[in-house]
Amino acid sequence: MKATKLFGLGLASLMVFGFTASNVHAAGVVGTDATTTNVTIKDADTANLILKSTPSLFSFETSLNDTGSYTLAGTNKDNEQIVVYNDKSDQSWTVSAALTDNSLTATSGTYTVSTLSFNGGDAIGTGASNVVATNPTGATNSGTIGTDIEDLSITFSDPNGTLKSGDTLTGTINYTLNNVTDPA
Amino acid sequence: MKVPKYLLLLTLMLLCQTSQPVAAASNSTSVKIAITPQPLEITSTTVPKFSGRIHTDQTQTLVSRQPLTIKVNDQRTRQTNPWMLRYQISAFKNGTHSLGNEVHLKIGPGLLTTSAPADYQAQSLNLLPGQTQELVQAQTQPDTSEYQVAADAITLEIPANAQAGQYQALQTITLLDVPNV
Repeated sequence: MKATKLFGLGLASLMVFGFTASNVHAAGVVGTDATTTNVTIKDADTANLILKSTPSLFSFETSLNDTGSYTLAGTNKDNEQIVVYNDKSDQSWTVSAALTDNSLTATSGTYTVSTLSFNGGDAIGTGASNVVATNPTGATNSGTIGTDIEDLSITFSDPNGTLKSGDTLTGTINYTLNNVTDPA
Repeated sequence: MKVPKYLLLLTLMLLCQTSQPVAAASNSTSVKIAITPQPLEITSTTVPKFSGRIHTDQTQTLVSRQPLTIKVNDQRTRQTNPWMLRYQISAFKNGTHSLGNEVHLKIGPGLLTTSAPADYQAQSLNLLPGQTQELVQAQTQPDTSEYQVAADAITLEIPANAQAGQYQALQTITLLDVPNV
């Protein structure tokens, strides 16, 4: 109670005499101690593996050419990542990508895509070849894990020369998160 | 020994955990390819046409019956480099027979038509087969331009003793983006 009173005075004085207040408070302290608080993050007993988000848009741009064959480098809007949540570090996973119908559409028709690659994988491929993200190793394979998009390119053809300036081709890449191994 | 059903079920569940797709909250990316206009291109051309009676004992000059017309679409909006047209004519051939390298194609200066005033320098050409010369250089606003040389300003000189027949040559027009220096 006395200490509380001193502190209260000190606080009131503080508004006018700053150092005086500190001295008064220090006089009431008779010892210090510290308690270390540890929070340990360990693997969960559950095995939650979630594909949280993927890039919203891959953009490409080209002028027409008379060969009808196009190979283009693309951009990833806002540098968005493939984001996976994993609560178990020894749980291996991959993310595979697949372009719907392996083609793009425009008002003038459908255009076959031969490659749509990034991160060493191909959205036209199957099996291991269409893997575009893989788990890191060790403790980094836990929590929220982001994978950048690199080396984005596409090859498609317009054999009949039906594309016109101003056309826009669109398509959708679908992703699948695969739980490769779960040793627990 | 009879294996309990729950053990079989557990074993089956563990086996199924290898390479299995799992739930995904967000799982697609849109792909978009924009086909943009060619910033600088030739959209159409015509070719001179000649006809006449070949005299075998003297050089003859034929006048074209058709103008040379070249349309250029310039949609370069970020810079103002001039553009240039170059012209080349190949040897005139009738099957495997050629009129040789003494054929002179002469093209007079033409007129450039645009919607806005444009600076251009039109050249007179005197070409032998295989030669390339500058036809016109222009600095235009983003627009479609038409460069035309009148038919009577295009002539072809045929050497003496040429063999009569139907001859063809290949006209090659090259459009260049000329950097400002």
